[in-house]
Amino acid sequence: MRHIPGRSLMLAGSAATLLGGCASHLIIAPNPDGSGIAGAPYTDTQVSIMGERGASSDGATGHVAEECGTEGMTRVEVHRNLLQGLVTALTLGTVSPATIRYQCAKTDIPEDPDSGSDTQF
Amino acid sequence: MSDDTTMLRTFGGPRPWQNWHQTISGTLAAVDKIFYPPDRPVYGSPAINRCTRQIQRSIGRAKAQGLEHRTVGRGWSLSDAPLTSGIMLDIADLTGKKRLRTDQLDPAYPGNAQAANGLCLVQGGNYISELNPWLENDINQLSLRTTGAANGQTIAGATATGTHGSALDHGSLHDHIVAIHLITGEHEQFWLERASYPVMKEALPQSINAQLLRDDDVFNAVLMGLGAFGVIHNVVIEARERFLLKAYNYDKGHDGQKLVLDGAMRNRIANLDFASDPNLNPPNESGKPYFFQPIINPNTDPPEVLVTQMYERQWDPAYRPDYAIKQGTFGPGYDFVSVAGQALDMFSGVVPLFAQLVAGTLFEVGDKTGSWGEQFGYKAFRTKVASGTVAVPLARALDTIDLLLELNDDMGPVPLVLGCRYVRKSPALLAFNRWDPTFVISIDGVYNNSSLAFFDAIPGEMEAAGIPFTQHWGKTHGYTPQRIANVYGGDRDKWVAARTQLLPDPAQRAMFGNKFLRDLGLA
Repeated sequence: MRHIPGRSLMLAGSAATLLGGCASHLIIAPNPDGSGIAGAPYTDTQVSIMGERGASSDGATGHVAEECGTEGMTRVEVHRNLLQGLVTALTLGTVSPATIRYQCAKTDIPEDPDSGSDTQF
Repeated sequence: MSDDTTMLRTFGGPRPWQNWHQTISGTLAAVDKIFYPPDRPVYGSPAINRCTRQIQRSIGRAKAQGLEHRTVGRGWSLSDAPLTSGIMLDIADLTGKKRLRTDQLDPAYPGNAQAANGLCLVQGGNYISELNPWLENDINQLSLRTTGAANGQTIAGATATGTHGSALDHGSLHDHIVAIHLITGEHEQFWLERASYPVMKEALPQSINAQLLRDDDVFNAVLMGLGAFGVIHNVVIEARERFLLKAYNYDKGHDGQKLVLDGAMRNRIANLDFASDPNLNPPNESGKPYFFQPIINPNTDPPEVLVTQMYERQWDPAYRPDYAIKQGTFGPGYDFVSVAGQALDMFSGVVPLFAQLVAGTLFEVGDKTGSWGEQFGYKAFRTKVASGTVAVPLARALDTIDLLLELNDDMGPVPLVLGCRYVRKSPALLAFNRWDPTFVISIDGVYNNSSLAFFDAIPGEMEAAGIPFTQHWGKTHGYTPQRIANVYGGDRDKWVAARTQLLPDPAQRAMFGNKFLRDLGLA
C-alpha cells in the first residue's frame, strides 16, 4: 500500500511530462483569408536536433514555402502531438519534432469597373 | 510558361484529407488546385475562359482515369458531403468579383433598379470573408442579406450545402444567387438561370462559351446541388444596399432576472411576437428585429436562454468597418473542446457546469454596432466541434424544442446547446428551408460519444412524434433515402431528373457522385 502514492505520483509526473510535450501555437494575419490544399493548410513536419547545425545550434530542418510564391502567409500553426512530445521528453529535448501547418495569402485580382461590355463580362 | 503549366497544379496521392473542423477524414486520389492566371488579368470573360480551361483539364483527367471529381472550397462542411475517393478540385484561389452593368442585363430581367444595382458576378472560390469587405466598401456600398454565423465558407461551397443564418425575412445564403456558371464536362458548360427570372443578355454566356439554359426546375436543382452537378465556377448574386446592424447579446430581462424558457419566451420563439413582452427586448428597442437567435441551454433547470437580437440601422457614411480578427478573441484552444469532450464522456455529471463555463467564454454579453461582415466574422481556431440541425415548420417549433429537451433528459446531459434560427423558404428543390418560415434548431457543442448518440437518436424521435423535418446537408444528419423521399417527395425526383438532363452520360453522373450521394440514393 505504501508504494501506491509513489506510483501514482510517477504516473502523474509522466502524464504531465507527456502532456507538457503537447503544444499548439498559432499566428494568423488580421484578415486570414489564405488557402492551402483543398481547404486544409499545407503541412510540413520538422525535426530540430541539437548539434545538427553546429555545436550550439538547435536548428530545424527548415522548409521554403514555395507554394506561396510571391504572396505572404496568412496562418502558421505549430503542433506537437503526444508522440512528438514523447520523443522530445525521452531525448531531453535534443530531438524535437513538430508539425507546422500554414496557408498562403491569395492573389489580389485587379478590378476595372469599366471593363466588359454588353457582349462580354 | 503556358497556363497549363502555371494554373493547374496536381498534388498526387493517395493523400489523407480532413475537413476544416476535423470531423471528417478520408483518402483522396489527388488534389488539383486551380490558380488565377499569373499575369493577373482583370476579371472578365477572357480570364474566366482561361480558368474554365484548367477546370475542364482537371475534369478530363478524372474522366480518363475513371475517378470521381469533386470540388471543395474551404472544406467547411461538417458532413461528408465534400469527401471523394477521386480528385478533389480546389478552387479557393479563384476569387474574381465584379459588378454587372445594366447594359448587360436581359430586357426581361424582372428585378427593380435596386436589385439590378446589387448584381455581382463572383468566382466560386471567394470566401464569404472576402465578399463582405468588397461588397461593403465605399465603391460598391452593398451587403449580403444573410450568411452563416461564421465567414469561412466559399460561396460555391455554401451553395452546395445550404448555409443559412437567422435573418427573419430572408432565406439561405444560396438564395442570393440568380445565375450559375456550371461546368459539367471536358467540353460542356452551362449558364443557368430561371425561366421566370432571366438575368443576362444571351451574348454574355456566349462570351464564355457556356450554353444558356433557362429552366426553373434545373436552376433550383443546381442551386442546392450538393456538388453533384459539376463545378460551379461563377455565380451572379443579387446583393442589397449596405446597412449597419446594432446587435445585442443578453441573458437577462429588464427586470434583471435570467432569461429562461418560460411562457413568454416560448411565445416569442413560436410566434415571433416581439410586442407582447417588452421585458424580453433589449433596452430602448421594440418592434421586429432583422435577426433573432435565442440559444437554449438544455442542461439548466429551467432551461436558460441567451438571446441575440439585431436591428437594422442606416449606413453612416463616416463609418469605416474593421473586419480584422482581434487578439484576445480566440476562444478555447485547438484541443480544448475535443479533450473536454472525452472527459465529459467519462464525467457526465459535470456537463451542466461545463456548459455554463463555455457559454460564459463564447457568448459575450453586450451590444455592438457594425456591418454584416463585421457581425459575422472570423473564427481563428480549427476546432473539432459537434454540429447538427433539425428544421421544421414554425408551427412545430415548440414540439421540437420539447422533444429535444426530453431526449436530453433521457440520454444526457449532453454537452450541446440549442440555437433557434429562422429562415424563409427557399425555391431550391433540396433546400432544407422548405417551410415559410422554417424554424431551424442548430445543435452545437462538444464532439464526443454522447453528442453523436444524441444526433443519431433525433431522426427516429422526430418520426415517432410525427413532426416533419429536414436536416442541414453540411452538418451531422440522419438522412436516409426513405427520409429524403418522405420530406422532399416530388422535389427530390425533379432534382434527380435535372441531374440526368445536365449530365446525360452515366459516367458523368458517376464522376460527380460520391459515397455521400450514393448512400442517400441521390446518385
